[in-house]
Amino acid sequence: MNFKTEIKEDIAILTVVASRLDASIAPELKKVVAGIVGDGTTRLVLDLEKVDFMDSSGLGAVISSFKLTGQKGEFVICNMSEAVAEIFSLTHMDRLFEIYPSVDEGYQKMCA
Amino acid sequence: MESGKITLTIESDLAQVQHVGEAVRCLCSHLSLAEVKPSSVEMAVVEAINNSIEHAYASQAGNEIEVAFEYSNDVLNIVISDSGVPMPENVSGLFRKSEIAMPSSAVELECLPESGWGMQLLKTVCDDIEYQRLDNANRLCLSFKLSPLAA
Repeated sequence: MNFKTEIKEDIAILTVVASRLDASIAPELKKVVAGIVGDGTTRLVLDLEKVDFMDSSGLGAVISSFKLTGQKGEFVICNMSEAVAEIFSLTHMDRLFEIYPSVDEGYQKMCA
Repeated sequence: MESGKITLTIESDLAQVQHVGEAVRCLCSHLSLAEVKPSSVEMAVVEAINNSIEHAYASQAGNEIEVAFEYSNDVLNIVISDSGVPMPENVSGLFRKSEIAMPSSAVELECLPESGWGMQLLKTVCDDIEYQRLDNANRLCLSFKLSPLAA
């Protein structure tokens, strides 16, 4: 199992359980998010605490996830490791996404 | 530091790529290569191998990809070789550092592409990238400059 989903107050907290969000599991992330949105939840907190490596396919899957949820609701990313923060910085995605240091802070932002 | 060469070979299976990525990161850390960030080198190598699997071999398993890790006092070269279909003829221009195109903060997330980031990342983290088609094989050389250590 590479992903774990918890729904709290109409907000999905999606945890990437795998240590690498790469081309081998990126398609699965898109399917999981499509399933969450299909079930009616369009606000999503993406928890990357366990991820210590991300490639461009993983980044593409995160962008895809935003597009699936963000246009209708809200999408935040939490708990980035140094290596994941690096890919967001190199691609300037850190300027575009809402990023929080913890799930609690991302969740509270959603609830505000 | 002495020069050296280490060669790894994997099958064209995305699930195998992480093993080479982790090996490359460990080699960079173990050899204490000055000026090279192991996570950046790992990222570049993974992107290049993914490219071989997805484009040269059209995501078909059962093919071979060789990763040669060559280091000396002033440069780390990592050469990724496959026997798949050639890259487009104009690919050399795509590797120019001057053509890095990251989005500005004014871009809307809805407009961002979901693919094509690998090439941009390669150009950002590598000092030089050279592609050759030799003997019916693709050869992509990723170079990282090293600062010679003081004697």
